[in-house]
Amino acid sequence: MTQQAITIAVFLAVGLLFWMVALAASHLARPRRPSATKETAYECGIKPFGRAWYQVHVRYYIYALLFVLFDVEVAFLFPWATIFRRLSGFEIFLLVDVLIFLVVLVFGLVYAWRKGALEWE
Amino acid sequence: MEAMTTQEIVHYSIFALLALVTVGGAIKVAASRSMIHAAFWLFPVFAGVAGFYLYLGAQFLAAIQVLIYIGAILLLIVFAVTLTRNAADTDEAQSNRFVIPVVLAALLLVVALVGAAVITPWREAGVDIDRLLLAPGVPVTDVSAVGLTLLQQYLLPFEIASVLLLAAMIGAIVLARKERRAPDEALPAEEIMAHDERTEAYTELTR
Amino acid sequence: MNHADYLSLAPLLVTAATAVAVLLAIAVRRSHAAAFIITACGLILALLSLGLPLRHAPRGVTPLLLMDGFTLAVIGLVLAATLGVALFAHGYLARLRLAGDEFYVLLLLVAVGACVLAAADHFAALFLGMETTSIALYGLIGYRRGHRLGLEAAIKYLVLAGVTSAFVLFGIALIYADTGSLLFMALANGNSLLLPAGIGLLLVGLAFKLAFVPFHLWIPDVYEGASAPVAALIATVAKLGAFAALFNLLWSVMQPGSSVCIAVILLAVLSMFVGNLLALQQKNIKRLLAYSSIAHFGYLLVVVIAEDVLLATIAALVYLTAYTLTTLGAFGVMIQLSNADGDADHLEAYRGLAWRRPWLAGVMTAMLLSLAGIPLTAGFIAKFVLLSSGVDAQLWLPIFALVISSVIGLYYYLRILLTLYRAPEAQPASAPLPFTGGVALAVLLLGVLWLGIYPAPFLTLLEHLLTYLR
Repeated sequence: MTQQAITIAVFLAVGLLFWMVALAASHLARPRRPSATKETAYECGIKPFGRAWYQVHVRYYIYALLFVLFDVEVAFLFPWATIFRRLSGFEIFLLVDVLIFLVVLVFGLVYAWRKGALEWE
Repeated sequence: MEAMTTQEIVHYSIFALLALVTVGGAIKVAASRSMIHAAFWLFPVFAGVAGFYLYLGAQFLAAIQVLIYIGAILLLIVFAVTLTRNAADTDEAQSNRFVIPVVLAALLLVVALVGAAVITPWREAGVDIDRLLLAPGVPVTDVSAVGLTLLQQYLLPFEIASVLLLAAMIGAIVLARKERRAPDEALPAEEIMAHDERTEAYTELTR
Repeated sequence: MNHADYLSLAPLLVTAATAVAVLLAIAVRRSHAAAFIITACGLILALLSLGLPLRHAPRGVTPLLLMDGFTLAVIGLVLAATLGVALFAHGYLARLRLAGDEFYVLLLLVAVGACVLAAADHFAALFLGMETTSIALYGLIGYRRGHRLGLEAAIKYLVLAGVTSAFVLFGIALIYADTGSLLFMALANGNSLLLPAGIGLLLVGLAFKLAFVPFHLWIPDVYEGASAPVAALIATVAKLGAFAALFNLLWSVMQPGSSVCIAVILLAVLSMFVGNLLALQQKNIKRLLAYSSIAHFGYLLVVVIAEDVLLATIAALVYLTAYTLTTLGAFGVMIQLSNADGDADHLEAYRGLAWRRPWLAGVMTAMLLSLAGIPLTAGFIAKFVLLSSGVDAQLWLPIFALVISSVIGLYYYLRILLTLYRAPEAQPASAPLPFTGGVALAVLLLGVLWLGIYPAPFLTLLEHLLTYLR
């Protein structure tokens, strides 16, 4: 454990150092001549206007939510995948168990699809 | 006090670092005036918790924490914040009239929990986690051990979880669906305005 | 999981499968009638399948669920109540011209969650059941999208359920830290202060869910904002599941004079008085029923601290049955009077109902008398059995509080009753009673009267169920 911890700590330190040294080096080496035009935010070549913050549409949220749901589903599948090959004689049950889990959620997806919840209108 | 061994020093410093990141992040979440900042401060909190899981030898949980909490929940929260108006504004009041009772109740809980944690004879409790959670002889850290328990002992909650996810999906679609009777309602006035503003300004510029 | 396990779970499996079937039916073609028929058939099938686990009960299906006599009875009640709500909702959704399809899916998922809660013998099952119930309820409470109060209620319920989950999870974590087990049984053998702290947090979480005073603030607003069928669902199905879980959970730790026991007595007495007192001035029937349900669950807590297991379990089941029949009936009448202009939740909507729609007024009269606990109704028998269980355990303080607060409660039930028979001011056009709702109301009325006049067969049945399947 301690050995591992030290290894991780060394990796962390090297990773952080690499990043900081690279940025610091480029900061020192590069020329810096700021002007008003250069300081503005780049927005496809036109002048930026309006506020950067505005209320976004709820449909983004639906996608995010569906993503979370299927992310959770995947998380459940990882442990299953690791043991699927290892247990001889159990495969059929394991397969059926996981299929029930998947089918319920796939039906949900079919429903969402048919209902047009996945449409971007 | 006895002198600490190198091992103990390493362990305590890892713990201290993780605790600092987690608790510091949590304090910033509660204290940030802007909602979007508060949302992003959740990142160190979730990452710190993932670190704790790793530190405790639960690699699978750590991976899940990163995958679900950092990858999905945090994203969801940021989306939710951008759905609200004036997410970046900082003029919201930080307290309300219940602040004193709430602080008192929270303090009571802290005293009770810290008290219970201090008094509990942790080492003597002798809880054999391996025996209770997993099949005999299977190490806790192994992902496949989690898989085994999930598909043998905990098969039922595993399947119930799919029903739970289904409920969440349908609930979300029902709540966010467009009202069929009034199709215009779906687009909030705010967004139409924001778009119009930008389009107008664009035509202005390119004219 | 073997053959007997699947048979033991049959009611649960059928209900969950029905939810998925309705979902698929919606995906193929939208039809309110089809969704309703599948739901009703599925629930009837699930009720019939309750016979399958009987042969194997009591049986622990994996360490998580325990199907014994009490659990099966509660599951039966949950399924019957869900069927009742579905029957009422059919006419209601049609009158409101709401797309009803998803309503039934969510309804069935609430029932699944409540069944899991009732059967839970393990904290993982407890938590999953709770979450399934509340997640499905968010969608139902906010179902009327354009309705401001409905959305407010959905948010309030979301916050409530979030707080509940936090308390329950923290409690479970502490209990696990102490005992090293997630089984309910583990509560009996903790050896440190973490266990009482964990039980305390758990109790607070469940008290939030069941709206015991002082954790009751959300319930009138949620009842008022949710549509009448959904309010009926929260009042019956969701509460049945949560109470069954509380009952199963606390039996293993309850010792007379323990701190948990004192906390439960405190919750009970406070809920009885505060619930009844707050209901006194209510003009809104939904809020009134919310406060009245606080009081009723306060009464029910008496059985949790009673000593004789058999007597207490019978008392709990009789009371839950009477409460479910009566509450569903009262909400059923409200649903029949509600239309697209809004739910009939104001007292004025009931003025002179006896002259306009005598049948509905008759049903409402029976339900109000039963809620008040007047003889010849189910409410009386339930209260009687509850009192005898309390007297047996010599719980004088809760019994005294029960009697006094019941008398206070009489006042507001009788006030609605009088309103029903006052001369009406105007004569609004009366809508015909839909077949589904009419059948459900008739069954509920018969149930309330039968249980009130001739309860012996029901009590014998429960006694057999509990004696042999324990």
